[in-house]
Amino acid sequence: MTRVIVWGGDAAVVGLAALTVFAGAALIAWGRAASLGRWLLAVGTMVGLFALAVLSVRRGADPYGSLATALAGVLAFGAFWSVALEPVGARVQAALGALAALTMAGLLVAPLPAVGAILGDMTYNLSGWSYVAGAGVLVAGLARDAAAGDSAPTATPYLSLATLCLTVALAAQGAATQWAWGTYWMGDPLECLHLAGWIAVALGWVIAEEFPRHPRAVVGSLWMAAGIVIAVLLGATPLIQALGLPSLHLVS
Amino acid sequence: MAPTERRTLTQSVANLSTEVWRLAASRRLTIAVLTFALALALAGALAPMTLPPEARAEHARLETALSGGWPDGPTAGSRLAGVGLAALGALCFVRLLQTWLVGWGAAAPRDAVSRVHEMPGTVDEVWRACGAALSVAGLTLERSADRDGCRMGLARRGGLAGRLRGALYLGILLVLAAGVVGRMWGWSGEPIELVLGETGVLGPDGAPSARLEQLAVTPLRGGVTEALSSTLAITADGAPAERVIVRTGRAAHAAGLSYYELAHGPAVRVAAHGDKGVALRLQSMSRDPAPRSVARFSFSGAQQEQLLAVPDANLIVRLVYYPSLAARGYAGPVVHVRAERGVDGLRLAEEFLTASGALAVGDVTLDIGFEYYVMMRAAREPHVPVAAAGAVLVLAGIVGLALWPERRAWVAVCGRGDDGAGDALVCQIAVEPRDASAGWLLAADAVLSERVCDARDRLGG
Repeated sequence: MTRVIVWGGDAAVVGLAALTVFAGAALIAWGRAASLGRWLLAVGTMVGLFALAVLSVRRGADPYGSLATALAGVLAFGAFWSVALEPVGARVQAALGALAALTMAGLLVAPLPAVGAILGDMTYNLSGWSYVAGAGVLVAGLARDAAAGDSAPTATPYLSLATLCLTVALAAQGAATQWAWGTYWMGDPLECLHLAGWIAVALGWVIAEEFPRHPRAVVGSLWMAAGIVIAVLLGATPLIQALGLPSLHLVS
Repeated sequence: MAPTERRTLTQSVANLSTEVWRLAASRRLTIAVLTFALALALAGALAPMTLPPEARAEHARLETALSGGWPDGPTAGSRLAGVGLAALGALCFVRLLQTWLVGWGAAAPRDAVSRVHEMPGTVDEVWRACGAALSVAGLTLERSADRDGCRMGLARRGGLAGRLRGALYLGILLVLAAGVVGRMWGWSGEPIELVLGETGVLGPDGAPSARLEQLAVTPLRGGVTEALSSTLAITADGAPAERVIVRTGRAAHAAGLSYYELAHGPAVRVAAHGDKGVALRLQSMSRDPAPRSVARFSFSGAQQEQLLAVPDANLIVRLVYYPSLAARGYAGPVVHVRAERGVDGLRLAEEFLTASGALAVGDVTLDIGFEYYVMMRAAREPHVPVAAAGAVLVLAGIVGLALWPERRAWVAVCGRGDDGAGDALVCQIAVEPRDASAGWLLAADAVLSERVCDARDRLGG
């Protein structure tokens, strides 16, 4: 079942934010007013993410159920973290900003799968958006790694922040199902995959802490964690549907 | 056994326990545990789950799963998961002891990197100098043992920064304990289906009964599904009825129990009138056969067809619910109503209803209204606050780990072992290999070197 987003106030804010982010990315790429560009990018992504969250709650398209929402959220968070966490170079910031703007704008015209609405409350959305925030941190970490290419990579700040975000996501998911169905853990395939993402990030964090003087281990842990988290976020729902696994979270 | 042999055996046991304790504190064990847990989580997600064939329908899946349709009982997988969780609990307990209690701290790792300073003075003076130097890096030096003229201790973050790490392990223990508390002291009643005006018992003997008094429907934005507010009158132990409102996705709490709406689905209200508007008696043929003027039927996963009799009019009414009936051009839910003569089953009238309506059968009019049934469950959940506290502590522990990464230094202050250096003592600071060139260690080292110089200058002067 699919449906197209109806134009509304929240969608207008998303569109405006996408334009702001795109303008910021363009200024950063141009190089003349890069500082202003970074401000525009940071403010645009924050406003856009807030509007995306409102939109996802109102339209019942939480990031766990909607690929378009998840993708736009991950790239917007990635662009934001690329400015907020550590300077990663103008090219990376501009590229992430442009991608975020495109996916945010694309969300306004993309058909949304109407799944996951059975738990379409704020707590469940907090879970989804925290997961998206964690994936965005990891995207920013990958971008920094790709841009810097140094012999002493930095992964710990990204992995620790991502672990924090994903912990909030799991706790909020447990709270949502507890309030709805009276059980905070059901062994549901979607829950297991979300837990796998959390474990992957925690594992990456411990590896990066244990082997800080082994650049390949550090970078490998970041890529492993990011790969699993993003695969879970974008691929869990299609995988569960394709395999016909019984997931309560995806009953429409 | 000779004393020497006994000493050797005691020494071997002590060495073994030291190694085990050291292993429990190592990050490599954490890596192994997390790798195993990752494999288990992926296997748990992708392992095929056996559901009864009748539960294949989308809506029935929810009902069946929540009403106990998941495979339960001690399977090989659940035993393995149980053993894994018990091992995780034991590891967390050991880590908690190691983190919060100095005497329980692990020995320095075998590949620890040491820095050695020679410093004149007494053991107390050198120990204080070491502590002062390490405090520059935010570490607090605590004495763990005095043995053979050596004083040994562990320096690590003090205060809140040091305690928060333990909160992670305590939180995991609480989450695991919540499962045990839930099994031992929790209670969960059987899910029951209720239509308006119906009363059901929410569990075995002594469980409260619930009567569904009112249903309010709120369409969600986007029109994906409806949210229901069910007003229940709860009666327990002969006490006066207590009213609770249970909403879709939001439990209600009363009298120490929580009430959940697990699912809702279609139901119909049927009434029959004769030629002068006289209400006719109806009798369900599949549920409670008591005669009534208004009957309500739910269409749940296992029951998509209902039969009722109208004895006064010699009628049998068959109601069949279809989520959709593409063959007849109905994209949404539809109820097929068919009226038959009671004696020979002759079809008298039939209609496909997509909304509330009426069906005329000779002098009799059947009024059919579309309603909902709700599936309710009651539970006593003493474990939920424990699990919530555990989740908060896990979160706090991770915040602590992110803000204040672990720093540990093992300190030993001993005599030189030869008599060539007069009163000089050796202060050895050992750290994990990853910290060998850490800034905090270099800072502490510099401060200690300065103090050594000062002490030597004082002696020289």
